[in-house]
Amino acid sequence: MPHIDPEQLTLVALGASTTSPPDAEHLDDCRICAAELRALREVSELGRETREETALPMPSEQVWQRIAAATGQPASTNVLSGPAPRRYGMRSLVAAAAAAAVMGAGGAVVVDRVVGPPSAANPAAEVVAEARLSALPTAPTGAAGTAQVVRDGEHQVLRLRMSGLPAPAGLYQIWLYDGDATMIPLGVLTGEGADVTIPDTIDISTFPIVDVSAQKVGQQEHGISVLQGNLS
Amino acid sequence: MTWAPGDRVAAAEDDLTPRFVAGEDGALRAVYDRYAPAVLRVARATLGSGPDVDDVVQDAFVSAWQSRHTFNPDKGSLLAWLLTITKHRAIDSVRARMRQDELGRRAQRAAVAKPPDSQAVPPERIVDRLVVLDELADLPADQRRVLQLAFYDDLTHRQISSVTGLPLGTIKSQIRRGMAKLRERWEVDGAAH
Repeated sequence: MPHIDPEQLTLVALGASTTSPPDAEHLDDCRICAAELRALREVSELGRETREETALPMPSEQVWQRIAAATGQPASTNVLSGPAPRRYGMRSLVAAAAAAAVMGAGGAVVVDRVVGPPSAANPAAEVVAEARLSALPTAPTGAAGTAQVVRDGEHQVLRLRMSGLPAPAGLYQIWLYDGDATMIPLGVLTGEGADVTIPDTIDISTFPIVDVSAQKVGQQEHGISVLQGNLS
Repeated sequence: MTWAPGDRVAAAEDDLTPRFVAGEDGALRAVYDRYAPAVLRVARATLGSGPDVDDVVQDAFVSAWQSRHTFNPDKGSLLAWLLTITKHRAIDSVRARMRQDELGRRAQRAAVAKPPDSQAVPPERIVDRLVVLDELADLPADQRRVLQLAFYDDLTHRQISSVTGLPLGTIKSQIRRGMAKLRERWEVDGAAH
């Protein structure tokens, strides 16, 4: 008698399907299939339990400072410039993105606004602040970018240029980040650059960090940061 | 190397592990950024809370960096190796606490540290979860998505097919392939192996 189809056995292990009477009979007799099912059930249990581990906090920054001191590493290899940049775990990113999305619902920011190719922005526009964007470990080697905040008439515009990043299967999203708990999604880009208007309610001195994340299409929360830099 | 936004570069494919073993600039910080939350989790699962938890995290990374040339990728992943070191350091710390007890400093210990809850999930189980989660993050996006829907949203293959609009056969195949990879990683890297 042939073994149980692996797809079917996996579905049974997940609890998404039940065993047919012939399969149940086979499982009574076949130690190989019974062991397969036990292992897949265990993996299924662990898979469900991983939910508990998806938002783990980072240790405090002092822990890294001590590791750096003990190993002779630079205390701040962080790409962010400026004093004592804060790192964040997935929890704060997700919470922050959720907070930002709530702000979006209130009309303060526009979420998932698709930005076209860079327009011929007024070349005489005054540069208010700029940042060199450095590649995070998640980005391919050689990725880089720049961001400028320019005053164009009444509004401030974030002019972002990046290179060395592959054409995305999803998309890239531009964020402003306060370095603590809040990230504001400014817009989406799919090419090498974009000019996005910064909402008048946003003060860039409060949100000085420009972050570019890789997103899956439809993903609301902050995805994977690939570039970051500090406006100054 | 293929790289798709929204996917973390697969640990098996990215070069972080060899960069770490070679002692390259920035590699320790990159490994710390990726795995410090997992190391902290295992330290807390073993020790509960207390100032020695941070010490264990620190010791684990320092020790891993200093002995990086002994890491053997054939025996398991960098994460599994780091978590093994963490468990050893945490157990050393538990023993140190017990010696303090023997010295009659129970009061001091009670003041500085809270032992883990006896109802808490055992550290070995946490390690198993963390390696499975790490592999889940490394799966191709389509397989990861269907497994997240199955695990976290408790959807069946039929429901997943209905919400994603993908054919049932495709979903079943993605579930099987994803589960097979999680299982393989667990068998190589899990706490009991």
